[in-house]
Amino acid sequence: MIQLDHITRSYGSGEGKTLALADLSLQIPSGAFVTIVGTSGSGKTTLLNIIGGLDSNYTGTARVADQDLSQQDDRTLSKFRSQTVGFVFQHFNLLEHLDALQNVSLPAFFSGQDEAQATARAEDVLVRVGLAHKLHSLPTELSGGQKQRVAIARALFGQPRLILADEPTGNLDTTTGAQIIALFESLNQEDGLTVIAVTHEEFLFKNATLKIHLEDGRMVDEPPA
Amino acid sequence: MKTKKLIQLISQNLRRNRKNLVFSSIGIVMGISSFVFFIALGNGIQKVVSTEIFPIDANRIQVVTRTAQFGGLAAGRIIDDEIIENLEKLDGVFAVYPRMKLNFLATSALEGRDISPAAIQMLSRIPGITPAMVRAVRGVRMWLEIMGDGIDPRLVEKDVVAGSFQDPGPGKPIPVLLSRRMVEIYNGSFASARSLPRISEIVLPFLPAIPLTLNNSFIKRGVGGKREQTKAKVVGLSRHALMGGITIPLETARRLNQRFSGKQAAHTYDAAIVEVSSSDYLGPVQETVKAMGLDIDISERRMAEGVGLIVLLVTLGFSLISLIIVGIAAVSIAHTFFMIIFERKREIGLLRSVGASRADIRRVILGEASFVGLVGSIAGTGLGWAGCLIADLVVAGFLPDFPFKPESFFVYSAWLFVGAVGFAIFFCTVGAFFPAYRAAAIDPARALTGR
Ligand SMILES: Nc1ncnc2c1ncn2[C@@H]1O[C@H](COP(=O)(O)OP(=O)(O)OP(=O)(O)O)[C@@H](O)[C@H]1O
Ligand SMILES: [Mg+2]
Repeated sequence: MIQLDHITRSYGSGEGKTLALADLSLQIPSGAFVTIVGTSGSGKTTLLNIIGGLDSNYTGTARVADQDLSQQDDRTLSKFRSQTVGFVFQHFNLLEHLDALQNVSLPAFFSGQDEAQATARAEDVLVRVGLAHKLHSLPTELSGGQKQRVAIARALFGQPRLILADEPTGNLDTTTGAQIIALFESLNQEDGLTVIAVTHEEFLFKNATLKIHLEDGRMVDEPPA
Repeated sequence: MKTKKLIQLISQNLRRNRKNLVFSSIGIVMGISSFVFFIALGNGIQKVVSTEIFPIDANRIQVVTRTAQFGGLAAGRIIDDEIIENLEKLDGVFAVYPRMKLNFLATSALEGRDISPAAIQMLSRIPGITPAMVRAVRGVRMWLEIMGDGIDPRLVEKDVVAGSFQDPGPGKPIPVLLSRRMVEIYNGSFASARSLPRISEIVLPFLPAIPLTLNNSFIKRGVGGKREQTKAKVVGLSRHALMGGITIPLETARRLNQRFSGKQAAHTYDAAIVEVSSSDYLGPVQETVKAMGLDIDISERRMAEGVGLIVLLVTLGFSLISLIIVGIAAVSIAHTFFMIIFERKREIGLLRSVGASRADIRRVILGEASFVGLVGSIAGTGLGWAGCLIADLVVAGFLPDFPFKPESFFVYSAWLFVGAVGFAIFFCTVGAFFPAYRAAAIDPARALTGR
């Protein structure tokens, strides 16, 4: 499902040049439940953004869901983001002036679904993440865990095959974090979605099928436990 | 991105930034309102100039005898019946309207106390005529030397409102046209200062006849021949009528000239208005007329053009200033959008992550700006229009009458409003152009991590 070959991504140039990913190659099968771990600045977010088609300034090839992302223009990548992947962030990134339903149907502005369709879909996914009773709540009226559920619902809106989560539990207490991860597990197991999550709380991901450990932009083998 | 969705998103965003946008669109509103005001004012004044003060007929030229100042040649040809006929035969000439001066002296002794009681009765019944005015009329004592000319009735058909403008034959009251410009000046300053009634087309039918003495002068002694008493009846106001005199039907002038000055005077003209069927013929006809030893009187046209040009330049100056205001407003719009984009950076990153393309982001920003332009300019045109109405009210209510004072100083056209809105949208869109490109160029990956 995901095939990265010799991906190199650097920021800046000359003296201040940082190598965020250095000749990285890896494969992730469809339906996997992946964690990406590593120290701060090791390139985890950079990797996620490349897989999600949000970043295209790299060398090497990235194939995701049968598309060669390194070859696509902005329009195609935008379409890819709206149809194939769903992003979940540490800081939720909900729009404060919109209620849960509107936040979730935000992608519809760009995908062209009509309003009734979009609202119906948004309701479905909000029910799926357990927020049937909060459809019209504003983000300020929701707890951290609920906000992250809204964000997950938004990621699910476009019926993606892949969920990319960047430290999704980073802003949540351990119990709430565990519930969010349970939600990801169920999306992975029941709905067959591939889930890739960057985390500093590896212990929460007991059911991960694959772990990618990055240091200085490279994959490192785990020291034997 | 579908247009309907685009509009939805734009209106959502605008609502959020209402305060900022209202503030930065004040410039648009002011600029557009002054633009509308000045253009309408310029058009209005242009209209007064071209229809009231210096009315110009595009397809007509005034042919006159050549005077000494043109080349110092021996006096040019006089305009007689033969010339008129020749002019009529020229290619492209639709009609020729000869004009004949009265070649004898005439006077009028206006004595208010001689007006019959019946005429006074009639006068006092006209709406707007106050008893004070009637008293003023009865007190009038005005002895005038009368100049006059005769013109072709076809030229003034539309101006005749109180009777007929045809030669009535000997012994009957003579129909007379008065110069609109002269009456304007009379109404504007002469009448009001003397509490006399204003003259307008409405009061003409009720005006008493004016006594005329033909072949007479209060000034020149020893006018030969018999004088003749007659009356004149004002039948209309015309811009073709003589300024500072009376204008009577051509045939009446001919008859009276024949009677008091002889045959020659009855068959020479001092001018002829030549009407061509299309302005394409103006040039060739003018050439031929000059070749015939005659001249074209373009003084009116020159003056009209001169005044028109000044009005145009002043209007352009003010509209330019208005547009500069709009331009400066566009800069403030640009500034506001840079700010908005800076604030919404993370949000733009998010929109990109859920599928917005660069072009989508650009469209949203440009759409927001053009909507600000639309709303700002609609408010601006409304305000400008209100300004025009208020200015008219103030002028009507607080300024004394003056010659050519129009009912409204403003002329609006649909184009003006469309143009104003178009300008504003254009400027706002241009103003938002760089912010829009900046927004589209935001790196979503970076914006989302808050870098
Ligand atoms: N936009 C950028 N400009 C410059 N350098 C950047 C940029 N984004 C990332 N980097 C650098 O690239 C390297 C990898 O960054 P990245 O965000 O992928 O790390 P990370 O593993 O996600 O770290 P964290 O756990 O702190 O989120 C870092 O050294 C970072 O400083
Ligand atoms: Mg990161």
